[in-house]
Amino acid sequence: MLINQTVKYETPADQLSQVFMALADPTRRAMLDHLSRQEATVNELAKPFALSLPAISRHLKVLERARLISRRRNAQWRPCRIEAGTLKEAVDWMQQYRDLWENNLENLSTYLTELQAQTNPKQEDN
Amino acid sequence: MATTTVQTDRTLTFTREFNAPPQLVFDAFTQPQHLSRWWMPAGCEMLGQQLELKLGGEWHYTVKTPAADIHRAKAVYREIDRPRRLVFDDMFVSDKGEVINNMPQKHVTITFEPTSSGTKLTVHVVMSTPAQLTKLVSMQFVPGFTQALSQLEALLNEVQ
Repeated sequence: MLINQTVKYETPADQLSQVFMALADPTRRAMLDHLSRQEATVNELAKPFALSLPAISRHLKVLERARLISRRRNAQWRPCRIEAGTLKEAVDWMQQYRDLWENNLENLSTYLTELQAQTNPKQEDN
Repeated sequence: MATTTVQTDRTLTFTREFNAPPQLVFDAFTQPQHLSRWWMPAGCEMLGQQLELKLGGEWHYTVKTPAADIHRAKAVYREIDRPRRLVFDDMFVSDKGEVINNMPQKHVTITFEPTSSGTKLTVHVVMSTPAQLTKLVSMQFVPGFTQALSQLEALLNEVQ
């Protein structure tokens, strides 16, 4: 059944909230900034920060869970890379919200015209 | 009559005129039987609503997309001044009806101004994000990233 399938996977809102949470940290944003220019190893990503490697690893795990980056497992020398589609979704979110309102207001205009035509059949359309 | 939209790093302002009196437009925003006829993303279906129009009262709604995804959201009313002004906070909720805190919340102020032909509607939305998320929706963050991502995406497509 369609409803059961929907419940099985994360809703789009849950996925997006993971992305926002991942992006809510300046270290992680800086890492993404680096990866948006080129792939990097864990060691390369860690360089600019005065953080322990476990702390760096924790940040990368958050980014990976949010599907903002992908990387080979347990391999500090293997490259991490950014997943462009995921970040673009978050960036597009505000545009989608704007589109939503514009769509709704268009619907409202149509609806108000219909509603008034029902109660005032002699009234002209705009 | 098209909607005029102004966007800054954290706000959106929509302006539109309607050939209907302010009290009707106000009611269209605050009564479920009206809302189910126009408040939803394109192609979606409003599945259910609960609305309590009072200060601190809430409007819960569930929308089904063409892909059969279910989205839930709610608004909490902060000011109700029929037919002039309506203010609410708009947020996403989970399946259990709990607010999803990591998603930006929107503070929405709507004014209904009488005109000779009906109503001038102004909707002002402020993204009230948790403090840590302010930078995300700032326009300083977005343009450079977007361009870099397009280039990266093209490169990855080539390589694969």
